[in-house]
Amino acid sequence: MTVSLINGGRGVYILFFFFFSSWWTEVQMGPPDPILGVTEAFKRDTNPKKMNLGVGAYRDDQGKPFVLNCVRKAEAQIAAKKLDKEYLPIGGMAEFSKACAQLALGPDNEVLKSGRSITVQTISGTGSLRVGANFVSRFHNVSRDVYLPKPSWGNHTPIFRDAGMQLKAYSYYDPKTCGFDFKGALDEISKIPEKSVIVLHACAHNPTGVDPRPEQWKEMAALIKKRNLLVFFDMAYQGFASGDIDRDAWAVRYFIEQGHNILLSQSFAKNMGLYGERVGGFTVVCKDAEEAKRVESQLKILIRPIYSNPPMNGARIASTILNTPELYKEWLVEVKGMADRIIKMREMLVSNLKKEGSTHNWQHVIDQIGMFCFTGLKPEQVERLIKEFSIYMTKDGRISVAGVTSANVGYLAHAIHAVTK
Amino acid sequence: PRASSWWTEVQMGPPDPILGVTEAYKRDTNSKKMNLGVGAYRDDNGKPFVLSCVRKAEALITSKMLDKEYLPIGGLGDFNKACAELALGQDSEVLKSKRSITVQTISGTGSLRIGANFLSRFHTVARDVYLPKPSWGNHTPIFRDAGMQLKAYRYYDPATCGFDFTGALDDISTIPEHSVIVLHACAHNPTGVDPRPEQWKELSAVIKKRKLLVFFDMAYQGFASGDIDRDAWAVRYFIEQGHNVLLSQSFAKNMGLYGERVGGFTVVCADAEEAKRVESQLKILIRPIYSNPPMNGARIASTILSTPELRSTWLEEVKGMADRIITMREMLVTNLKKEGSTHNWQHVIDQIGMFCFTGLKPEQVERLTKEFSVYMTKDGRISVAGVTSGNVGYLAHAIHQVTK
Repeated sequence: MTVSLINGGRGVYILFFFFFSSWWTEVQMGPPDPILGVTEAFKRDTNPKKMNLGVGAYRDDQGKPFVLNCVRKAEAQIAAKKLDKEYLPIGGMAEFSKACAQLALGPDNEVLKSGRSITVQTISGTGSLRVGANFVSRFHNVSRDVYLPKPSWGNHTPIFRDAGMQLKAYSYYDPKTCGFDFKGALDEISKIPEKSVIVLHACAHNPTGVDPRPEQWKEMAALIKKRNLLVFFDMAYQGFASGDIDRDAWAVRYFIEQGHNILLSQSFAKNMGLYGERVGGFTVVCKDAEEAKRVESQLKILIRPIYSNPPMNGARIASTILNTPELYKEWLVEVKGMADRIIKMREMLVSNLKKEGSTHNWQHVIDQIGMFCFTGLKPEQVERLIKEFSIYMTKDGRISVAGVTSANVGYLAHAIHAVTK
Repeated sequence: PRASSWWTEVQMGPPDPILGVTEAYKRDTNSKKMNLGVGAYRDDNGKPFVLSCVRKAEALITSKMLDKEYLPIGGLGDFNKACAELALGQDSEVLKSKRSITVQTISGTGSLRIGANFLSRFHTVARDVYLPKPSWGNHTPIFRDAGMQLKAYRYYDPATCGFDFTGALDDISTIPEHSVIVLHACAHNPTGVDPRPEQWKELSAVIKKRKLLVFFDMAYQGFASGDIDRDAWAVRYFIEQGHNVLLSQSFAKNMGLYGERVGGFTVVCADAEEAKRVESQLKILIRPIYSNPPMNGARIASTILSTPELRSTWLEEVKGMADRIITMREMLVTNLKKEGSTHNWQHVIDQIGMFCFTGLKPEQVERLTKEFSVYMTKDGRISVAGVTSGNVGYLAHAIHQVTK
């Protein structure tokens, strides 16, 4: 506060200036998040036919958010127990972490039997990736480089960059085929400097929906081993991709069998519909149990100054489902149901496009897997879809198939045909 | 193939000093054992306490059959609004002019870390963060891991077990301009020693003169005196005096929402336009840490704060917790006198909030742990919340034994 005395001749005027100082004058307005920005634009649109194919959140065939039955049942069980709200340990709920690791690795995995891994509960997939990125930044001193597939989930880049790593890329998507650029990937991976970190999407690659076939995974595992790279798997869609949790985890389990001591991020946002509850896990596969203990201690030291301990509610739900046989069975049926609906929408979209008279090859829409589809649409076409048809997707032509229903798939096909014919 | 090792050089880290106390406590088989380590409230039977307003809010929320869609990056809008109003007061000029931004965070720790990261990225004029001496142990790694440098100003006077007001003013008056200064809004952790209002006024003036960026940590609003407005007085006074503060809030203790992880981070800005710019950058910072915050606890807190009967119940329950703590402090001192202790234990009553800096030395703390199974952190800090009418006599006896 500045006090000024002003001599006005006929008296003294005391003027008090409240000087609101500003610490943040130099802070620029940042660009809106590209993915979440799509939903915001969608909300503002008044067209009754509008479609939101932006955010990757599952919708039922009425276009409504879907809370799984097994989740509601688990919640009722938990509520009945009248549990307290005491802090979880830094590494989270033990029964959750154990079940989370078993889900990914398979309950009979040698890694789990020998106790040579550590799994901590995290704030969904993003939280898991960030804890992993921070861990790598602090302890993987032999290299600063993280190789992402091209393209990858947009948020991967700032996650690793803000953690202090350098981002690089390897060829992955082939825009000519809307499929996997296997040759290009092997070529580029073969040149990655030893001990660099390589990020692999375990299944249902985001944003393309393009996954390697098992034989291709095998060659990649061999090459990555030869290059001596540190593998970081991002598995955000286990169960959600093919409908089969073991099939979706195949690549992760294969790599481990081949001797890769991987890092693994898991999310239960999509496969259990727990989105806003923020449930995930981060696993480090170590040489032996002793190393796992050392790594665990350092993960806790890293986590404590970020958020102290993770949120309990979602982990209790996930743990209840994974550890209660009838709920687990029910979950497997429901996750398959979601995956099947997605697959069906892909098929309906292609048959509708053919009915519209499109002469393009849309096979990739069916070949791709998981929530997302890289349509191959160009930015100008995407813009027309938004402006002329109120169909919202990200600029890269990625659609969330989860936002497609039997009622709107015809309109979508019509619109896509209109901008591509 | 033989398993290779990426982590050969990773050392076993030391256990967390505070949480390590609970782990040692759990292993102890002595039936008289007392856990005065972790700062979590216990009722007079030594049991965790879930507030009835929380249970009611949960029932309301369950009946609504809400979905589990992602919250926005900055969290639940209704929660953020209520959170800011709770701290600043509903009639705050800051809120009326919309010149602040509040984001939902992962309790107090998450809030402090977001703030630390924000400072590290945008407060480029200074790297130094000044903590009171002592401060909550986790403050140091929070700011350090965010890339800031830690410094300290005098705060606790071991000679009086009270506030070193002269020392604090002295040190603060030499802090380089534009540095960040962390202030505990109420119920200082770990000492329980708070400045009196007249002392806060002088602190505010010196801090303003030094042009320091104030970062308030308010983890105990309502929990300290039992009165939410009284506990927020310092925060509101500083804002009125023109400090554009950073503020971390936690609902872990005052709503007993510990493991639900509910908190808020607020930046008071020059105007609404600046608040918008700051908000956009907070979102860019948060998205690669955890994308968006957990919904459950925020829904509970929001329901309580905005439902009149639940808010009333909450205010009573938080006062009830604060009152029980105050009663235990009084009983401890009474019992120490009955034991025949000739030491001055007035500080146990003068200090406020969950914690009490007993003034016990490390050797005495060790004896309490080994001979009496009374667990506390090495600095002699006890969580008064762990004291009950059932065990306060035993505690007084044990303390007297190691201090007579």
